Amino acid sequence: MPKFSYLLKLLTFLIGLVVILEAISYLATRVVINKAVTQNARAELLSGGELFTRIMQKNVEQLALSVKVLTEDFGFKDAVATNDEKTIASALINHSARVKADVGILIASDGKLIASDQAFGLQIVDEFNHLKEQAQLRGQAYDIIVVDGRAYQFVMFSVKAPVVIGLAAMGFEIKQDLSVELQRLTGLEVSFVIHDGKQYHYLSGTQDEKNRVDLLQQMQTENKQGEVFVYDELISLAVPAARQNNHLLAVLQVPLSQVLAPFSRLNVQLFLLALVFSVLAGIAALFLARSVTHPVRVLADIARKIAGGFYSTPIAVTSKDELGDLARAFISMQQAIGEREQQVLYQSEHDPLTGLPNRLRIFPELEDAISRSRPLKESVFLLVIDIKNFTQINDELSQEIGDAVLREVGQKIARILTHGEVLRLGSDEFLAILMAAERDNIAELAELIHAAFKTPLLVSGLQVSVDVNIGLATYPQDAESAESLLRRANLALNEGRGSERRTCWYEQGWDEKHLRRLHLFREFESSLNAGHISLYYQPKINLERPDTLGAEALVRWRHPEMGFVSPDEFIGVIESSGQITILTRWVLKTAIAQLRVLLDEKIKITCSVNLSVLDLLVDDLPAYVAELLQSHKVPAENLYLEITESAIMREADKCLHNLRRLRDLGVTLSIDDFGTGYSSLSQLKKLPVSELKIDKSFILNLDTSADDQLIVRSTIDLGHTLGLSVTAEGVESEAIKALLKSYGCDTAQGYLYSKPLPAKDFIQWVHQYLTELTP
Amino acid sequence: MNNKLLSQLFFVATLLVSQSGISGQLELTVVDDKGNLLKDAVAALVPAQKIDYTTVPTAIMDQRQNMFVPGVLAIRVNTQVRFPNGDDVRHHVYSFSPAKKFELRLYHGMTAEPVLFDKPGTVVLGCNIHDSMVAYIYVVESDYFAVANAQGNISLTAPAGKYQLQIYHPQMSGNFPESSITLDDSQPVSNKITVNNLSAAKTAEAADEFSNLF
Repeated sequence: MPKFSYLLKLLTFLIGLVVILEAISYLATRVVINKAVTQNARAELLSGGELFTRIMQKNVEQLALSVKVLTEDFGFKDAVATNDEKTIASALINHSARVKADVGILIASDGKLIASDQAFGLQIVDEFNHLKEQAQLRGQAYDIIVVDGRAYQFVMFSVKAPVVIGLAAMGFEIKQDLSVELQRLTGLEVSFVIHDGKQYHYLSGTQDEKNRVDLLQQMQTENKQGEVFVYDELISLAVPAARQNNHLLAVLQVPLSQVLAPFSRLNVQLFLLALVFSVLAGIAALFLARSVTHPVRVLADIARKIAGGFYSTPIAVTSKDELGDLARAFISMQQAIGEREQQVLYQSEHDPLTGLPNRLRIFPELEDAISRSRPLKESVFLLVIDIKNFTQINDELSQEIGDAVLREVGQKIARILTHGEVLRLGSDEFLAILMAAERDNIAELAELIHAAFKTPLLVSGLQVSVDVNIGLATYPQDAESAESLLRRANLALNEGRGSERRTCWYEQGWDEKHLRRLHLFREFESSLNAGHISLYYQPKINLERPDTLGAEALVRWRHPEMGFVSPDEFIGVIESSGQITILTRWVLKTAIAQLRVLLDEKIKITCSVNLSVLDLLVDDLPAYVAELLQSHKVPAENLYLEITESAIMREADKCLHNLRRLRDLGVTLSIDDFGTGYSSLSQLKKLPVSELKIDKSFILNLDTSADDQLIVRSTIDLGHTLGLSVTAEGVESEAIKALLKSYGCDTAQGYLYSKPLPAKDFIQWVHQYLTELTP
Repeated sequence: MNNKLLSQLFFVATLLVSQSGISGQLELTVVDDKGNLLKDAVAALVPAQKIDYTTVPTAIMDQRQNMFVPGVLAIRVNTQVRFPNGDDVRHHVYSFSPAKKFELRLYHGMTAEPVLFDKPGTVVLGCNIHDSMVAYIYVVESDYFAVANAQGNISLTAPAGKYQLQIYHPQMSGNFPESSITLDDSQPVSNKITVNNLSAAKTAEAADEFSNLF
C-alpha cells in the first residue's frame, strides 16, 4: 500500500530524528553529569583528604601538647636528669594514657631508649634516628615511624633542665579504626599504604582484598600524591600522613558507579522523555503523512478512473500548494485524454477515405438496429453492396481514381439510404442497415441504387462506369443474430455474384450449404489421409471393337458422419480452396497404380483421370505424370486426362502450354462434359486434344429427344471432322447405344455397361465382360 | 661524640708571661671556628698542686627581668652563692647538674638560702617557672679564673708556677681539653683559643607553635 510506505518512511525519519537527538542529548547530559560527578567526587576526595590531614594534624597537636606537658614536668625532668628509669617509664605510661597515645618513649642524653611499652622498646633499632636529629635541632619534631609493620605518628620534644637532657616522644598508632572513622565521616573508601623505600604495602583500610592488590599495583606504577587519579572506575586521591615524608599515604577512593548511582534515575527519566518524544513524533508523522497521502490517494483514485476510461471525475482543488498544482494538472490531463480518446475512437471507427463508419461499427449498429426494430415490429435489412468491377477500375485506371470512386460510391449510397446507416465494410464493399416494415420498400431502394449507377461517375474528368452487386438478408426472417445476418447477407451477395443477379436476397438453406462447404473443406484432407476417399472405375467401351476397353476413374467420398458426399458438391469446394491439386495427384497416383494392376492382369485397358483447370496452371504437373508413368512402367497411351469444357475454355490460353507438354508425353487429352460450355471452334482447334466426351445430359434422353439426336449427331460429326474420337457419357440403354453406334460415336460409357465400381469389383467386371465377349 | 669534638679541637696558644716579680699574667682571646669572639667564655688556671680551700667566699647570681645575671658565673670550689630575686615575680631556681643538684622553691627577694658549691664542675641553672631562664655556674678548683668581657678577652693574673688551663663556654658540649701552662714573672702570656663545634646559640623558641611540627 503506497500510503503506508510513505507513512512508514516519514515515521522512520521523524522517530529516527528524535532518537538521534535524544541520544545526543543523553550522551551530552551523560558527559556533563560524568564531568560534574567526577568533579564532585574530586571535591569530596579533596575535602576527605583535607579532613584526614586535619585529623593527623590534630593528633600531632594533641601529642605535642601532651609531650610538652610531660617534658616540662619538673618531676619528669628530675627523673630524666637522675636517670630514674622506672620513674621515667611510669611517667611515659601515665602521660600516654592521658591522651590515649599508643606509646611513649624517652631517649636519654646517652642514647638509651626507655619506652612505655617494653615490647615496643625492644623492637626499636634506628627508626627514631631521623626524628631524634630533628628534635635535637629544633627541640621538637614530628614524623611517621613504622615499627614492626605498624605506623605511628610520633611527636618528640627535647627535655630541658634547662639544657637538653633527653628526648621524649609519644605516638598514635594509625589503626584500622582510623580508616573506618574516616570512611564514616567522608563516605569514602580509605586505605593506608606505606612505602618502605622499595614498594608499597597495604597497612590498613576499608577496601576489600582485591581492591587492595589493585591499589598497590596502581601506586607502584604511578604515584600521584595530592592529585586525583582514576583507575578501574575508582576515583582516588593519595594524601601523605605527614608533610615531612610520604612513607605513609592515606588513599581515599570512591567508585565511579557509586557517585553515578543517583544519576541513573535521571537516565530513566531521559529514556522516558525520549519515548514520549518518539510517540509524539509518531503522531506528528501520522498527521503529516495523512495530510499528504489523502490528496494523493484521491488523485490516485481519479487516475484509476481515468485508466478505466472515465474522464469526468470532478476534482475539487482547494489547496494552492504543490498538491493543488498536481490536481489541476490532473484536471487538464483527464480532459485532454478524454478528448483524444474521442478522437482516436472516431478515427478507429470511421473510414478515413469515405468518412463512413468502418467495420468496427457494424455490430454495434446492427445490435442497435435489431434492438430498436423489436418494439417497432419492423425488420432490419442488411445490404452488402460491392462494386463489381472495382478491381478492374483500380488496375486499369489508377489507385487514386479507385479511391475517388470509392468516395463517390459511398456518398451516393449514403445519399440514397438517408434513413439507414451506411458503413464501409472493406475494400470495395459497403454495408447498409435499414429498417422497414415491408421488404418491397427495400427492394425499391436497391433498385434506386442500381439506377443511380446507370450513369457513369465523373471522376477526375473521366467517366467511370460502376456496377454494383447487392446481397440482402433480413432480420428476423433470415437470421436471428447480427453475426448470422451479416454472414447471410454476404452469402446472398456471393450467390448473386455467381449467378449474375445484381440484387440477391438470401434464401433459406444457403447458409447451411455454405457451412457444409466449409465443413467439407475442413474435412477433406483428413478424410483423404484416413482413406475415406477412394477411386471407382466406370468402363468405357469401344462401340466398333467391344474388346477395346477404357475406364474413367471417379472419386468417391464416404465420410463416416456425413455419409456419401457427392463429387459435384465437394469438387467445387476443394477447387475453390485449391485442394483440388492434392486430390488430382492422389487420383493420378492411385489410377496409374491401378492401371499397372490391370495391365499385370493382362487386361488391355486405358484409364481416364479428370483434371481441374487449377492442375493445369501448375507447371510441374506434366513432370509428375511422367514420373508416375515411369515408376509404374505404365505406357503413356494408356492414360487419358479429361478437362471439362467450361474450365478449359475459360483458361485455355494459360493451360495450353501444360496441355501440350502432357500431350507430348503421349497422354491422350479429352474434353469432358462437351456441349455444356461455350466452346469456340477456333479454340477447340488449337487445343491438343484427341477426344470429346459428350455430356450425359444430351445422351440420357437421346432415344426420345429429336433435339438431342441432332446435337449429338452433329457433335460427333464435328469431333470426327476435327480428328477427335467421340465418347458418349450416360449411355443407359441398348437403344441409345444403337443410336450412337449408328451416328458413328466411337465409345460409350454408362450404366448400360456398369455403374462406377471399386477397383476389385471393376477387375471382376472386366473379366466377366471379356468372358461374355468371347463365346 | 665528645671524643670526636675533642679530636677536632684546634689549639694554638702563644703565651705572654708578664715579668712582675712573683706573679705572671695570661691574656686570652677565645674565638669560635669562624673567628667570632666568644663572650661568656670562662678560663681557669688550676694549680698543679691541689689546694684545700677552707674559706667560703660568697657570689651573687641575681635574677632580673626573668634572666639570671650574670648568665655565666665562675666561682672557686667551696663558694657560697646567693640568689637574690630582683624581679617582682617569684622564681623557682633549680639545678640537676651532678656538680650541684639543688632547688630553691618559689621565693621573693633575698629569701632564698645561699647555696654552697663544694664540688668542681658545671652547674646549669634553670627556673622551673620561666623556661627561658638559663645560667651557668662553673665551679673550679682555683682562685685564678675569669669570664671573658664583651670583647672576648680574658685576663688572668696568677703567681708564677705550673697550671692546667681550663676553658668553659655554655655552648660547649663536653669538656675542652685541658692544657698545661707555666706562668713566670717574665712577659705576660698572650694566647688565642679557638673553640670548635659549639652548639647553636640559644634562640628564643616559640614553645607553643606546634603547627611547625606538622
